[in-house]
Amino acid sequence: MTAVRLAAACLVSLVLLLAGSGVAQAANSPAPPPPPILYTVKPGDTLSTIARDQLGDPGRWREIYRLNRSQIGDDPNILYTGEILILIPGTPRPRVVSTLPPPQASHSGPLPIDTGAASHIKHVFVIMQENHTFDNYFGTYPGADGLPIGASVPIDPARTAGGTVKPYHLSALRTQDLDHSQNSARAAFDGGLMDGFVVTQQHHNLPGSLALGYYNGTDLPYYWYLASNYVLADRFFSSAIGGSLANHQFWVAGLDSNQGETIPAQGIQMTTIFDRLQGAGVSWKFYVKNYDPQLDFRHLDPTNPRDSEVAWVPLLTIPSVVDDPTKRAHIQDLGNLYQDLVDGTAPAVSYIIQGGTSEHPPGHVGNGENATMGIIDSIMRSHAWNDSAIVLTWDDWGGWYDHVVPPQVDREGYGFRVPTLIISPYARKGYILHQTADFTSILKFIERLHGLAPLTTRDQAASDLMAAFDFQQPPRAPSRPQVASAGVVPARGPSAARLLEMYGLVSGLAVLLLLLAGLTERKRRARRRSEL
Amino acid sequence: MASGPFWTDLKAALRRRYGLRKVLESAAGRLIRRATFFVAVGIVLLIAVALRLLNLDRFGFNSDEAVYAGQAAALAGHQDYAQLFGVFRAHPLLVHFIVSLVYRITGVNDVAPRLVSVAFGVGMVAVGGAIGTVMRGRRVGLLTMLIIAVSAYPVMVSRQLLLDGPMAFFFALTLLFLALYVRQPRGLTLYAAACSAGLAFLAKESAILMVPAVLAFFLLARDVPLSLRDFAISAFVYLATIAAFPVSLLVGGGTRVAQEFFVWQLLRRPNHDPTFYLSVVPSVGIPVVALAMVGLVIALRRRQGLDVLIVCLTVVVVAFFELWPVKGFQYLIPLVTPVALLAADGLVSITDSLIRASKHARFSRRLAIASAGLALVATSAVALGIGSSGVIGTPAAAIVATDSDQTGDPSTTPAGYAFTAGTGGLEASRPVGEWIRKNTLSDSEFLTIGPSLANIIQFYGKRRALALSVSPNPLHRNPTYQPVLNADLMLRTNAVQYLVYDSYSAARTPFFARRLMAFVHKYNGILVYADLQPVQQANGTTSYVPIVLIYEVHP
Repeated sequence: MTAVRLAAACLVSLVLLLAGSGVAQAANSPAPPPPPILYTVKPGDTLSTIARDQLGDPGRWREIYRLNRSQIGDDPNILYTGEILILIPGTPRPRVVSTLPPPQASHSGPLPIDTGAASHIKHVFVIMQENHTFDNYFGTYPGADGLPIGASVPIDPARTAGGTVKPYHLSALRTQDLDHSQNSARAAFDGGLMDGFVVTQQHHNLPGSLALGYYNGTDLPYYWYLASNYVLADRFFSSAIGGSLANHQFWVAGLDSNQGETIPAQGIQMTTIFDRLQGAGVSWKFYVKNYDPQLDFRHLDPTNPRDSEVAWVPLLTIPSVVDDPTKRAHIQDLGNLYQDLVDGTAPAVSYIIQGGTSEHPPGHVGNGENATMGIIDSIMRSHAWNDSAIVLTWDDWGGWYDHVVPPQVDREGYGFRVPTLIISPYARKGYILHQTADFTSILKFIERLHGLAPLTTRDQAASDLMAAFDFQQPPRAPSRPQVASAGVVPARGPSAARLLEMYGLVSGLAVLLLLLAGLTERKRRARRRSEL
Repeated sequence: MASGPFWTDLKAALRRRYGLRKVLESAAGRLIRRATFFVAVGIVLLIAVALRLLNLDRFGFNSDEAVYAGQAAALAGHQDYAQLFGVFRAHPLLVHFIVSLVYRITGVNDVAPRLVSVAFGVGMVAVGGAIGTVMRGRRVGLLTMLIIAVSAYPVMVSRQLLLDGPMAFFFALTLLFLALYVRQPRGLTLYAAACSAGLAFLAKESAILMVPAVLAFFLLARDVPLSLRDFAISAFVYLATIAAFPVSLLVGGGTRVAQEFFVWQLLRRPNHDPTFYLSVVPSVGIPVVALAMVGLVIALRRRQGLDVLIVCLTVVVVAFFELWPVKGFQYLIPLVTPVALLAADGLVSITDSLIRASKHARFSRRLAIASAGLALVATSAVALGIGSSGVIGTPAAAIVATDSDQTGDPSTTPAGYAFTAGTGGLEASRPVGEWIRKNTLSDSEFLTIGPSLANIIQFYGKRRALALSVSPNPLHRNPTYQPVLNADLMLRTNAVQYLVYDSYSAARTPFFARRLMAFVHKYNGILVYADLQPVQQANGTTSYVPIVLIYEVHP
């Protein structure tokens, strides 16, 4: 009896203990952050009327625009019925910080020059587009590490019976902008489970299934043409698991500022590849489409449709560049690139940003592709082509799904895979580069060409893209796809062979007849003379 | 006594054993006269050849020449030209066919086709002389040859690869066979005339005008016999010859384009005023035309055999081309032979009248010959002296008029106009083509203002070129030209990489010139090629005017 009572007491205690711990756990768990206040756009709405009706002050339209800039786009006057806008942001989720150390400045000396590359490559052009993953653009490219058969992502990882979303072909070349902040990226990454792509968009009241959409060769014929004729890298990662600013910073400096997507008022001082190039006497320029020289970290203007260039051109956040006219003069409008190519004065290293045609949603990917084709075409038509290497890449995941788990090399990344193409007369034809790389590999490539010291531990350890080239092969002539002349009515006509036969036959018979007539006339005259 | 063939006279003289010296003198005289005649013929032909060959390759092709040569290259099997020039454009293809045979031997160039034209031109000189000899004797024949040889109009036309020169040759050949038929009616001669007329049609379809002229001739010239059998056979020969054109279209798949071309021709707007053909007169030679008037009056009064045909031909051709809205400087070239015949006849008639009127026969004969020679030298000097530049000049209006693709009259003559509309070709065409071949990718595409420069770019540059001004309405354009429905889209999608301005097209179509330049500004156009020519201003200074400008554009 005593044993029974004792056992029962133990059992009750155990139950109470468990319940208590559960209560305690629940009590210790932080309350979920308050959600954002959202608004669904109705017909006839403008930002002013929404601000007036929802926030009580029409002048607060700028706040709404700033919060939703990535979704609305460059023109604040264009709203779509049904669009969901954030009126008041919710408290951000706690930032999930990696326990890995951040990239550090490198103390290594200059890297040895790759003599084979250096003797063949005199011009490096790096074109940075926006916001697409490898699977989003090349997920069905033959031979590449694309979308696996049967791939799917749960709608909500927390609910096992919540259903899944499978990758599907997008029917529109213009889509809504997905959330691609660092928090969303980490949520999608989910410690390597890669199961948060859908749910993180839904948390932002965005269509989560959109993240699983992809394009193929019929949507992006030029990019697929480049892949089949030059080099496609299918293990090229964005450098940071986050958005544009951090990745652009890695692109030029080998690290980010640890400020997220924020540009502090005092700017961000960092050493960039351009400092290395300048010190080594190597020419460089940063070309920006529709460049607005008035914008920099001290002169931000959210109402200016070109305001994003400050984030996309990290040099404009660096005081030592902004305040130095000689350095700032290296940042030029894209139109100068074409003139430089024609004049034969293109610099050794060119970084290129396209602004409005960057393919950043809701931008039209076809427009971006056409604009990129124009740049690459111009390079191919110039004398610089013969000794050039063009790297075409995209800056961050844009909220799209990618199935490859990005290795975590330090606190910041890698981020998800992005499409990257390497185009050069010495690029291997139709080659898929499986070597792990990121934006700092581009830095490494430049450093190996010119014998420069690495900037950080990231580019010091990165691969250098040399495997994409074969400098033993003779340089290839530029190749471009035959663009269907969309605005032309094709000419028609008969076949040449039939024409040749008919005219040949008639001409031959005619000559015979004329000769016959002439000869008989001559004979007749001779006979007449002899009769006289 | 000794008036027959030499051997006959000799035998007679030997049998009768007298007059041998006179036989020999007579034979020698005939031999000398014949040799003199042939030497004179040879000299005239040499003059004709020399005038047509001198500086022949000084300038490159103009638009029409580029098209014809491009088509010939396509027929000769050159695939790069076959992709740029459809084998059917607007005309029958006999000339293209002949040039294609030449290209198979020489390769594609811009000199050999002109040599073909020169050959036809010199041939026309010889045939004209033969006609004159058959009709009125050696003096008229020789003078006819001389007129055609040195008159600026046929010289200019036969120095260019145009269809009209070969057509005029076959025109003349038809006249020759008809002259022979009139002298001695034989079926074979008439069939040969029909065949020649058919070949003239296959050279250029406007030779169909020969048919009503010849029919009118046989109706009016009752002294020229024509049996129903010969008429039927001749008609068959003519139709069988010209059938090569429609049959080749039928079996080759070009009937739709032919129909569209026919409709387009009917609906074309006038490109010159009704007095335009008066500009041809100075090129032929005012004294020549005046003498031809004299010869016409004589022919009308005489009304013998071929006189009627020449009158009918002249009336039909002049009336048709005067009424036809589209006028071209070279269109009246078939009349050169009849006009030369009439002029020669008129000149000989005048000299004969002077001889008869003069009491000193021997002196008068010399006077007549000298007068004839002086008149012809004056004629040629006046005709050849007209023009602005080049060895063989031409009136400015005539330069423009040889571009058959242009339909608008320029309101003013722009600076640099003459450099892109030149006799014997365009000064700008070869340099621009060479630059394009050397400095652009093989699949580059160009957009020009008008089709003239597009044709030149395609021939010399071997790059596809389209023209803004080509109408999208199939009733209002040459059906073998491709209209550009959306130039902006083509530029945005990088389907066109270069925009080309030229002063000639800009003058003719200022609207499309402005549109082209608007695209240059909109799409970051960078000037990559400029052909500038110095022009003397009224105040004595020299300025440079743009002739051809090429912009590389970037969307």
